[in-house]
Amino acid sequence: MNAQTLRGVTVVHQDSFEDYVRASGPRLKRLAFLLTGDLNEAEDLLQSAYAKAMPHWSRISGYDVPDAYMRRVMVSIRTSWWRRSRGRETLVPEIPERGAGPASLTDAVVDSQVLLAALRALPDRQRAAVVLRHWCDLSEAETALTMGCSVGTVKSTTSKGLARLRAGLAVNVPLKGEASS
Amino acid sequence: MNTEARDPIFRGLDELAGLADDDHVTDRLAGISRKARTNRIRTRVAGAAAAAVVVAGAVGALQLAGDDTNNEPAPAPSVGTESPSPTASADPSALTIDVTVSQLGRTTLGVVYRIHGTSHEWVYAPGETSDISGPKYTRVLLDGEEVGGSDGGDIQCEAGTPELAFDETWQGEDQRGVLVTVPGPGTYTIKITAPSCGADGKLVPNEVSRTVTVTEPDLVVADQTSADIDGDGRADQVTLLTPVDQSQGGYAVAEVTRASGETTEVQITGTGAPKVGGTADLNDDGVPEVEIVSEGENRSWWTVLTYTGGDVVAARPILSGGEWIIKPETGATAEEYAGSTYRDFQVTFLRGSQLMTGFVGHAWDQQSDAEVTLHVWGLEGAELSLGGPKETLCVTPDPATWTDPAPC
Repeated sequence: MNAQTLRGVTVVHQDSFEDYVRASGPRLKRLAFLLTGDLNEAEDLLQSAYAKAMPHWSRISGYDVPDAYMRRVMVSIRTSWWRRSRGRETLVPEIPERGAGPASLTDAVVDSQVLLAALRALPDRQRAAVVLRHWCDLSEAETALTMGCSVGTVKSTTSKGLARLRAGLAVNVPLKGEASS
Repeated sequence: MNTEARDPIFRGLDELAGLADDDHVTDRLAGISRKARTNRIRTRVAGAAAAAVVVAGAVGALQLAGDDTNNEPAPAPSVGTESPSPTASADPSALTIDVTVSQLGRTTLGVVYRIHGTSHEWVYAPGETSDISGPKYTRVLLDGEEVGGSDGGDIQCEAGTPELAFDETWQGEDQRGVLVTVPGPGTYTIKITAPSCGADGKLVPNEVSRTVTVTEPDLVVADQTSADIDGDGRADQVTLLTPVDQSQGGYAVAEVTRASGETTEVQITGTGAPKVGGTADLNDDGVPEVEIVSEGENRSWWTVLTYTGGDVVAARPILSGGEWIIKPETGATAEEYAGSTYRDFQVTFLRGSQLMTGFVGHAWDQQSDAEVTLHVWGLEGAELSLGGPKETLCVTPDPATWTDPAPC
């Protein structure tokens, strides 16, 4: 740690936090993008989460998995933003049907634009649940901790999210987690 | 990451997430530090807002009252829940609304409101409870016209949903409240509405009203200059005025008296004492623009007065499609970049006919000159844009020797 005074303002600077930001930035940016569906908003979300962590870094750095803290903060901030700006968001209630009927899942998922549109169409909490369970590979308990809700809510929210995502992708195949929820 | 590579959702999400890899941010730390500092300021402001029950009469003579017109500031954030509508729930659970109104400028009010109490959970459709907490639909009305709030979407009440406790304060993006512009001095009614759900599945229409009297504040001259801002070959007078009392938020009025006799007032948001930063022909039309800077305790602000469309206006930054844009070099948003800056993290200066800005946050841990990427702002009409060239100059982080950036 070092401190530097710049134009009369003392800035405390922790190298380990810098290291963590540089190391974790790319992977957490990916998560932020999946949570928001927008690159600009993702960067804003990521920086906001880091800004929350920075004052408490001495404590957070002692955690086994600081990323878990960051995930929780990002989901919380994202939910807060969504709550405040819901009326200004452009929600996409339905994804336009794909003319050829149910396509193969591989075709669908490789079409990032289709997936992005379907992901954006999910309610915020459903999107978070799907991303945390299926991309971060968190358990239901870990997802519940991250989202600040019960395991039961995680199950139902993930299930609803998957169902909507599947509808958005216009495919009809079993997805991971569906059987258990 | 997901070890089940066979999971098609994982594969799709992972491929999608890869799009974020193309959006490199070379210096994320400057933006993080700025946000962290903003958080500290917000926390302080929020604490002060909670403690200050009602702000009144601070700049000029803002007066608040419950639903009457007495001239005394309301003694407390009194709650006004009007009679429920005929279809309203008879359930006693309801949300309480506290409202604080501050005069932030000559014609700008800041409305901060806190909603707390209990409500039964909302549903999006029968049997489908919403997945968010907090008031779902709040509105801020000025004399009956909606001027702010939040749209909770298509929410409904349903009997039998669980009762939840809420306590949320709405302070706007910059903690100054929902900004409401009034035409000028006068008396106005501010109403906040926040419906809740009763146990019987009916709506509880909570609301509170405040009568606000806005009068002309006492202003003093902070700085002035002469420049031929309208290009008629004669000097025009630019006078910067600030309220005598800035305790409730600073702002300035730029009063431009042109040689032709016409006078224009431009309100400028900011803190501290504004001063003329300089004049320069930013849009190369042969007519000078006037840069105004204002340094507060923690932040500095700048804006540019320009003559366009037959009048003098404060230029605004262009935002991409109305959205904030991320500057790859700094992580800053255009709006922050142009409208509010930290003096310790950003340098803004005029060089010749160029208005240049650049972040210097990364320089704090350097003992010697640090390179700064400076952007040149372009001006077209009343819009500032960052499309100009960039230049690398050097700054000295030592506050004792701080000077404008210079060639390295």
